[in-house]
Amino acid sequence: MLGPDSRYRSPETHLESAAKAENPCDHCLSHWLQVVDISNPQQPTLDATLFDYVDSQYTVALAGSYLLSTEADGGLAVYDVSKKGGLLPNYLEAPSSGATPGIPAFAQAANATNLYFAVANAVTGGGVLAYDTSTTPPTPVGNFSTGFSLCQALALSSNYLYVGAVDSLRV
Amino acid sequence: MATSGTWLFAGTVDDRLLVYDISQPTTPSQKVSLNLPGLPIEFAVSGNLLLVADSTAGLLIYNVTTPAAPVLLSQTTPSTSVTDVAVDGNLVLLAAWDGGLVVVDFTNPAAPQMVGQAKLDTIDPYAAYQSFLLNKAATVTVLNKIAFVGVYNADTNDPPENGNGMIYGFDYSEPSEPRLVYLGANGVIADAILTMRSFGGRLFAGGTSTLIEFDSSQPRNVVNLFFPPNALRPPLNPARSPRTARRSPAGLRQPAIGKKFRLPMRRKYDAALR
Repeated sequence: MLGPDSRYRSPETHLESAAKAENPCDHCLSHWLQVVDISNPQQPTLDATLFDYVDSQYTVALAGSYLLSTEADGGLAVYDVSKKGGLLPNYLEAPSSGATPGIPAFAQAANATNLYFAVANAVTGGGVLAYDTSTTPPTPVGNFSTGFSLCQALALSSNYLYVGAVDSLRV
Repeated sequence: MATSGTWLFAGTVDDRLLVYDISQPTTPSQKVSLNLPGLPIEFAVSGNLLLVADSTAGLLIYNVTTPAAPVLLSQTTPSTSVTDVAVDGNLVLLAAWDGGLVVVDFTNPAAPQMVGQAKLDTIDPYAAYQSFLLNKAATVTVLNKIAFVGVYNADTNDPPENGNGMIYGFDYSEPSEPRLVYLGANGVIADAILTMRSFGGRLFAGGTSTLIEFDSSQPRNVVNLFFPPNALRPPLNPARSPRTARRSPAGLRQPAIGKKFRLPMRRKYDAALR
């Protein structure tokens, strides 16, 4: 029906939807569309993001491999949805909300097995979060706090992690 | 910070480059303290070269063949602050704040050449709304010839608008003409993306609110093929636009935690914000 991607080709066997994004941040505005493959209704998968910097989309219509969208200030937009695309997020940590503090991260370092984030929050303090990268997304395996010495830089050398905090270098 | 062999290079908030001998890893020994013209924000090592994103002072390139005696080879100032560097061969890609993405050829590190630039505001059809650019290029990483630029959204309004922690992806196969191939992640990270890095073909981002791995197997997104000419657009009147009207409900307000981020964030980007 829609183009070379077989998932979109047959409306009889595959359903497709272009749904208005459900923004993970309740305080953020939506400026994009997401294309969700619902060929397996029990396991819908995010297939593509469409974004043009314009505005939230109110209504959409499919015409062949094109998606027509009315976009308030942006007027009419036409998207080519024949190919999937866009970076799709996997959260290592849940995004913040009004009730849940987020994790501001300033730096990263990684070796073959682990990923480290330097985090710094003026309220809750700073530290390093460690993740196992054998999974996707990486899973938490440890952390240590530097208290209110906020971490802003990281570097790895062999088995040692160097942590640049505001007032000191820690190994 | 960055390491090279048994040496560690670190920047300080009082504009210095420190070089440590880490041959005894648990007892780093400081060998050098060098005053820099700007605030060193990020480092990259390429062979015997140390590249420094030195905020308002631009890109500094040091010869660190003798790490205990760095030699400044060049200073490249793209007229905006430089907050991050990523190296790909003889190219260094800069997150250049108001300047967007800047591509520098450092084949001759003593005389690097700025060969390309992609300013972020030129892509925003609503740039005319603002008296200043909201999205600042804060961090950059490269993956498969695409430079992913994470932005710091400098919008002081509440709630934030115009993109939040956006990611721009530029194909720099032709360095003189970086081409936008991805624009997205809007709202996935509120306010700002402060670090983007690729490790082992995987792409990670951290910002003011969360940590994310992005599936980069499909880095290019589908984009708007058609944007109506001015004559066909509705009037640009933010005060009356439906967009603005939707911002007014209390449910759209930025949570208080967002404000708490600003202290450490500004400390890191202090020079850039000056």
